[in-house]
Amino acid sequence: MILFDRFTLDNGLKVIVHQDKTTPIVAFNLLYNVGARDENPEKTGFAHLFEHLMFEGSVNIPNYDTPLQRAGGENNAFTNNDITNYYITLPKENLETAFWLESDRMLELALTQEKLDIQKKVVIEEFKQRYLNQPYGDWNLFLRPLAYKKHPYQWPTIGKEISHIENTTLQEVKDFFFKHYAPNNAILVVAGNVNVNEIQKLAEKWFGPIPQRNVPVRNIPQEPKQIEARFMELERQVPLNAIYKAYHMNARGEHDYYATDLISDILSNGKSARLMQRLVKEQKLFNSINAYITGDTDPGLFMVTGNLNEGISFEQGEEALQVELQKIITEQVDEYELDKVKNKVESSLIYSEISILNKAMNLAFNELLGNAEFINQETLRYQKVSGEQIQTVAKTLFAPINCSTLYYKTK
Amino acid sequence: MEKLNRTINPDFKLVTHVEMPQVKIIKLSNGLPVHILNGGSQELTKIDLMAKAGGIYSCHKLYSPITSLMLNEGTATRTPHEIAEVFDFYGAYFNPVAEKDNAFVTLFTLNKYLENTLPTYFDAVMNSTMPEKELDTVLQRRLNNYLIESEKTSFLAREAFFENLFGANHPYGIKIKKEYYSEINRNDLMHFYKNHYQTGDFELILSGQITDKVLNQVEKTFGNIEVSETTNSVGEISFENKSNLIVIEKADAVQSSIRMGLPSVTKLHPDYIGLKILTTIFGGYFGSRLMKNIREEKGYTYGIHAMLVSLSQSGYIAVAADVKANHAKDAIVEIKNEIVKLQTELISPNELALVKNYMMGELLQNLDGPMAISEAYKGVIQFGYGFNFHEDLKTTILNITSEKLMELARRYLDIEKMTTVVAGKY
Repeated sequence: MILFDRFTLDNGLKVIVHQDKTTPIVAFNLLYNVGARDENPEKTGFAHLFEHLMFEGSVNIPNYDTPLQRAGGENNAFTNNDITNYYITLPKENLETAFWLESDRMLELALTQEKLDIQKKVVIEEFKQRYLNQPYGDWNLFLRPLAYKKHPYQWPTIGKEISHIENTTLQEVKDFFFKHYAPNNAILVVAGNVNVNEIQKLAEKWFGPIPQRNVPVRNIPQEPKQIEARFMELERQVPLNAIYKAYHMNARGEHDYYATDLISDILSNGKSARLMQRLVKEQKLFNSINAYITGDTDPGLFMVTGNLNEGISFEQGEEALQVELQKIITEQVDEYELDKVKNKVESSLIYSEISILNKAMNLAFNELLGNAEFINQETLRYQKVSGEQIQTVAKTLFAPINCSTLYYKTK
Repeated sequence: MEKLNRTINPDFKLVTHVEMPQVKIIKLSNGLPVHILNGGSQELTKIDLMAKAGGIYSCHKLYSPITSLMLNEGTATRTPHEIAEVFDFYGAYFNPVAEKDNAFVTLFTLNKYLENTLPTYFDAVMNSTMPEKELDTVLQRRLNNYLIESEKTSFLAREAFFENLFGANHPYGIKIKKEYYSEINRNDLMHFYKNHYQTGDFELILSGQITDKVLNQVEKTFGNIEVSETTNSVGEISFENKSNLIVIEKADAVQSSIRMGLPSVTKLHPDYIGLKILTTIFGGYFGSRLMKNIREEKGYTYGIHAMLVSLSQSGYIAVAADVKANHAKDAIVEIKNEIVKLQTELISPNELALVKNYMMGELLQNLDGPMAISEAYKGVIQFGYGFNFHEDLKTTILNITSEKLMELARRYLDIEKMTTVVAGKY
């Protein structure tokens, strides 16, 4: 059970405070409700590039990192399709430095063309390092647009292509800031040996004076139901053939979300899971195979990815995989196996609460989903899933017309 | 209300007090040492079994890692599937890791299920039979992973770097070759396993909420085995490092991986901690000299790091980065420029103060919570230290001077002796 207090400033900033007296460290997590899905299809990778610019100094503080390091702090950030999340950990005594730094960059950035040009270069190198200079690194650049035809989840956070990053202008960056970076579009979580009164004072002092901004109502094209199996092939210099499959599933927090997540666990969470046992160890068809969900806030994807062993055809691999997926539909999972995946959910939630930063991030994300309190209901929601529900969900999920498949072939 | 001045940093303090974790060392009835790091608010236990079974114990590069991976692939009384079921059903994690010196076998479990998971963990560590069938699968999978890794410029650079630093005959320097996977056989592995695990010549590190009940279970499980001495490691081999430039061309690379560095002191050396502070300034944090120059000013890379690593027989200093292919040469020039600066210009009081504060904060974080504490402890116990190492670290951070750091840079960052590897384009 994670206890917390909450309040909202007049400008709309939501603040959550979690007290943990056992640590000398405070986690300060600021989530902005903006991600790659808010981008223009012709200017993708923008939210992430912008995240880099947030570290290039703000209106009153020329350098973001230096004062934080001087206060003994660590920080970083990530962008995904839904959110941009900034986080700091630092000694409790120096907490006010985090308020000072984060509030100033919410107030206004000190952007210049030169800073933008440098960060474009850095992000382009990140693009290459993660997606182009790695075997199989680019699969998601192709599978996403196959699975999504309308919804902006069709591009990855890094962007569709390098030219989108190259072509970004300073004016576009400035506009993006005032459009999305606002107290009324953010959630702050402070966790550590703190109490709500001191946090309220600090929040009023540093964030209170920042004006509310007009954040446009999100109007994202929803993905029409997929009604045909989709397929594509790529050929690359890689040692093994690989299969990537994406099935449309529901959004995070929806009723069937938990059953769908458990299906992915039955298939591939842990060494005892079905795909590992049957397809890797017994039949030796795959070198590795995984099933997982993307967990997005809009309807996301159920992914199956696997590397085929040498000499195994795509047809053989695919057929054996389909047998396993069909089994989920035709044979009700027994009580033992259902208990197993539920136990695993429970223990991984407990393990995740060891870290003060993890707790802060999870509180912020659950608040975005509707209520930070969800964090304490998560286990129960998984507990409620029945074997029957899993079968029903799997039937829709694994329909061939719901699937996009990418065959990644060796050259 | 007073107007808020946003240009002034609110008061902050240098962390000077760090609560050193308490470790209690006991012996089981058979003499097996157990290190206890009790703490944390979750009812869970992490067991790290530290065995003399790392890479240094064999000149065959695969014995140590494959043995470690085979531990949970079947015992006299449990099939591999049964072993996997137990850990998964009770939401536990079994994680074997073979490092260059020691091998660790980690169990991460909720206390309420310890009595269910511990016997299987024990069985895997002590009674593995390494069935041929499972071994074939493991070797096939590892070979495939090796082939995938071999497509990465970062992997190619790292392998060549260590070979050149420690020599092609020293376990630290031997490169993996494809044929190793077919040459290896079960008997040799079983031999390695007997000498390095079944001797019982290991230590246990327990962290989390280590109650009496947990200890009783550990005593009951591990307290009866016979403990004998491990057969020796392959002994100290002198390695001759030679300065040179190695280029590994990869035609389709869009980035070049750079590894640059030289052998250095170990944690046992009095200069180790000072040198750790120096490498932090050089390339050990986001605001480091290398990051500022090569990422934030030039934009050649997404990230560049310098590190000092201590193995038992040698330490090493390494700079690592993946850079834009046509800027590999420029990046190397800049790395050298930064070294020369450290050797010829005193670090300013401002920068020194910043790094001291940063490293004290880092120390505080590295000793926060049972998992962080056990990782920190594993890093020093291998050298015979306890948290006295962290006491020394604290004292050195608080007292080191710019003059001392310059002296260390001159003594230990000898560009003439450095090995440089570039994989990709040059």
